[in-house]
Amino acid sequence: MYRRRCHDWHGRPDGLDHKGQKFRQIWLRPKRAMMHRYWTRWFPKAAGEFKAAKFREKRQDLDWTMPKSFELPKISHIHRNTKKKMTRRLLRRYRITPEMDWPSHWPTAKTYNAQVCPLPIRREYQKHPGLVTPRDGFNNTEMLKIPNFLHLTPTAIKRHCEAIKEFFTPFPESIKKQKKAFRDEYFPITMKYSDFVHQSNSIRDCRSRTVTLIMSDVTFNLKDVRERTKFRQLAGNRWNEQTKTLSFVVDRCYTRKQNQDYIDFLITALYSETKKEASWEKLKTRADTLNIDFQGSSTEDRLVNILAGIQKRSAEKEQKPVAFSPVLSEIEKDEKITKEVLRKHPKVKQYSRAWEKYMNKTETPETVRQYAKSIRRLLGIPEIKVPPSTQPQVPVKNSSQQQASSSSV
Amino acid sequence: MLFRSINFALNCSRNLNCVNWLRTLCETKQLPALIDDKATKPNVDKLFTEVEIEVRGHDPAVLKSYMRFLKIATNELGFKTTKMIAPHYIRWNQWLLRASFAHKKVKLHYETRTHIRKISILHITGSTASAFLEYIQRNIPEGVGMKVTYSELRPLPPQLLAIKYTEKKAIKEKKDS
Repeated sequence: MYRRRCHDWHGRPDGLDHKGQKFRQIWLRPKRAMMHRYWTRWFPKAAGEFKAAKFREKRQDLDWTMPKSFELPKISHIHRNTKKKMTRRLLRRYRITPEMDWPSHWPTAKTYNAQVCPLPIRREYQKHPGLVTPRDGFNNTEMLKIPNFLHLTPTAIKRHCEAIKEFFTPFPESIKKQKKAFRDEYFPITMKYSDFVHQSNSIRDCRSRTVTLIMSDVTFNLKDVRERTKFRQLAGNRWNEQTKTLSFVVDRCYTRKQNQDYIDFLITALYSETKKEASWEKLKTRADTLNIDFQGSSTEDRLVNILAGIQKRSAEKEQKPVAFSPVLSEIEKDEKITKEVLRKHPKVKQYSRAWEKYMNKTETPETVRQYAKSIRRLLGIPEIKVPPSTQPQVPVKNSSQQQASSSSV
Repeated sequence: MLFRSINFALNCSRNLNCVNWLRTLCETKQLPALIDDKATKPNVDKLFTEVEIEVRGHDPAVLKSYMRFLKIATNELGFKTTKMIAPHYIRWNQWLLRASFAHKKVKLHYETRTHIRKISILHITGSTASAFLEYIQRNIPEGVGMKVTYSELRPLPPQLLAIKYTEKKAIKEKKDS
């Protein structure tokens, strides 16, 4: 079915008719077959042949585009609504032009309706796709099965956005620009929770009650080692050493608000407990520390023994203490080597730091290499020198080098 | 005891006159405020650093159209967003026997794929988020589900703030003395 575009019959320059009104598209069309049936069969039967002939004459002057002139004989007892019956209103599909407002034509989400949507779209199996242009979407059930976004064209979205903008509030710019220190002081907590939207017989989802808390340890103001270790012992695996964040995942209560209140309680309790010093904390042993310390380790004892041994042997042989030991060279000859003496020594301090780093962090080839370096530095052991390669060298193509070689020969 | 009894009366009193009398007493401050804190606390806007929208569906074409809609909407409203991420689909398989009896060799294999799309909006307030999300969620097409994850900025709980305040005060007093 094609849509006939009605022309401006009067041809006036301003496009108005004799009454000064703009031309308006008419969406009514005659039912020609029915009209033929009416005039040839029903009307003559009802009114008689004489009247029928009379009207047949008049009918030749009728212009079907102007419904006013389409006057029916006044036979009230038959075909009262014949005028309505003889016309059909064009489908909405044909009443729209590209210049018109699409969002008012298809305002909300609904199943595809070919009588409304003018696009020549069809979802069907095509044996030779591209050879046949798609027909209109009439009687196509596949189009009904898929969701369409005809109600969400860019113009429609813009209008919706304009409408909802009045409910928006601006995010304070001053908070956006601030750095971490501001955040840690005024908004130290980040709480994460979820909402779910799905098609089911219940609007509730039990996963929405889980609340996750993420914060740093700045608010806890951990000054000394005791507080730090206690905090880490209490927090356990909720404290991430790499990212320096504390995270709680709570879903033990029924509602989200209850879980949030419980989290608040947890933070408060954690803070209070870290600040408190209990009497049993003084019973802490080397096994209870989180990091292994050099001071009090067996390595320290061994180092003392090694250096004391070297000193003793060199004293027996009346030689200088082994020259390449940088530690011994800085200690006086007669001074007895003890832990206290070594702890003051800067080279030993350096070594102890490297040792602690190696022992307390994850072992990688790089860390092992660095630890080896620190031992060499401490005891004065020279590094391994890689000998030059014994493979034959590739001849160089540089002319200057050839000259030099020839001159040497 | 007084608090509890009057609260109880307010909540389940059948005598409307009695309830109204009690309420007016509270309002004119002849009785202490017994109604929960919401009435006295101001309604403060929430602050979200990030609102992550995750959309799941069985049809990638539908998800593509929906994400396009989200992109246009966020651009119109001037939101700052991260890039859209498309993680790998989640697969569910099941084999069934083709025949109703015997013929174990011949089976039919069924599979569903749940496609996922994610996008995050950065730095919006609570009222903005609720208005925008309501608009978004009303336009979710069929066969698509959504998960919204909020990252809210919050101050410390009042109990902890009180403890810290008293500590600070004590330190100050020590310094002054």
